[in-house]
Amino acid sequence: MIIRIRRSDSTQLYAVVKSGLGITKTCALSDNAEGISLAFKSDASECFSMAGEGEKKRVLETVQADGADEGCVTFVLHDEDHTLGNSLRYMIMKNVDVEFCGYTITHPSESKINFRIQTRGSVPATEPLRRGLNELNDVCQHVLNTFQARVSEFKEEQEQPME
Amino acid sequence: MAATMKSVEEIRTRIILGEFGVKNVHTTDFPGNYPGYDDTWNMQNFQKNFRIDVVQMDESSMEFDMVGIDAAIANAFRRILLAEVPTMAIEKVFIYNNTSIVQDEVLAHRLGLIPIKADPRLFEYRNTGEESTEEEGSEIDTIQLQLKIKCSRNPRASKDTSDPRELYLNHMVYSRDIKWVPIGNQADVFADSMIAPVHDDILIAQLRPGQELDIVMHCVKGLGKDHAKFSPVATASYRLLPEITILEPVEGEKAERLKRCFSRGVIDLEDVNGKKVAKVVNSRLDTCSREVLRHDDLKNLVKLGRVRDHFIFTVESTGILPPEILVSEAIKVLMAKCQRFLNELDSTDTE
Repeated sequence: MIIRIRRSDSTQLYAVVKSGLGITKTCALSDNAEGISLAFKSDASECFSMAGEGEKKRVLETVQADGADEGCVTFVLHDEDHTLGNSLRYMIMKNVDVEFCGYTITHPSESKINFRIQTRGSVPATEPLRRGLNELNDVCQHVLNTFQARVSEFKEEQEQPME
Repeated sequence: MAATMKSVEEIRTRIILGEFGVKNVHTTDFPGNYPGYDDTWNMQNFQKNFRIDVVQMDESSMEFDMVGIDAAIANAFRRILLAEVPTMAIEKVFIYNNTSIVQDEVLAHRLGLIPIKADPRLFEYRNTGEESTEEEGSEIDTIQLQLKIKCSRNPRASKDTSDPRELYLNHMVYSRDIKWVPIGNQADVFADSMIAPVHDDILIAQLRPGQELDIVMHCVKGLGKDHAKFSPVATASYRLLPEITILEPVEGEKAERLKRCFSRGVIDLEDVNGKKVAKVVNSRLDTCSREVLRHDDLKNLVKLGRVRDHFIFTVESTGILPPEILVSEAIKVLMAKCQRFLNELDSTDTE
């Protein structure tokens, strides 16, 4: 789909892309030449959708095996990595309803993770996911409050040094 | 039974640094793993046990202890500090003239890495990939900088000197030569916080008489995972609190030797009935050296470990934002990630 790649007068690289529908689109690329083909393989569809109706990018998808109940689901979290993956896995594994929770990074050049949850009983897998996200959010809120309180305490102490 | 309870407790809360490897590395306190323990998530217990102690803090760096949290979450904060807290950095370099010996692309790269003191929270991301690719940036997402400098001979230089600093004018180009060109209402909005490089003595290029640079730069908001120049920290790391346990009394010459196996200030000698007895006074100072394991008569007298949930964070800022703001922002980024998926779950439910 790449028609030609040209270097503009600045340091940015641009690629001119033509979709099947005849929409011509110019995309800025990262500044290394090797990035071009790779970036294009994965981002081609993205570029087209941006050129088109302004379709929203997917954030979360669910994948279920044929015949599996809704307690065994793989969630695809787009634009995430170990940062959210591992902390969310920890929170979800703390849940008694969850039999298995784990995640994989599908490929180093794809920015998404496959997040698997299997529950006990007939709990739908979205429940522990939602609960895990909420609990992680609450943990962060508590950490943030504690941190800010301690920082302001520390600053006050420094301003009035001990006699 | 009491002995096994003790060893289970050790597996759960300590990491053991043995002679032939590190034991109990992974978190295992999940429901169902240990009979007699309730390991389900409990917010009250977490709030009771969690604490933060600020050890040291100044404009550019801070050290604090984060206690009572799992490595998965502490590590998320560290990773976000490195790669997902936004900053402003030079992204586009328009070189109108460059007759110096530094090639255009090398110069552009050098300029990109200069930290720019501008609060990224007051700017928007610039939309890439959309129609605006060719478009100029606006006052809400772009900072314009200019570097225009020409080197010339110093007419007042003494005849017999060979020192370039005296012979030439403007032959060293420093980051202080970069000037901010406000766009739109930026001059009013940022009147009290001059936008400029954080450090004014970063050497950019060296010129000789007749050589000149004429460059316009655009700074945009970005993330460290896109390019390291956007990373707001010089370093952000944590280590676990070391714990040294002396298993049986160590006296006399052995005690002296044990003291010397560890960093200064970790072990002290106490006088007990005229004998010198080794005592751990501050294990925090230890670097977790394995020296003691080389002494056959000492290695079985001590136990080296680390406290699993006691993180000693060190955050060094590049100077764009103070370190305490960076940590707060990092925590907010993780909350925003949770919120993003919670919103997505809610919107798919209503569909």
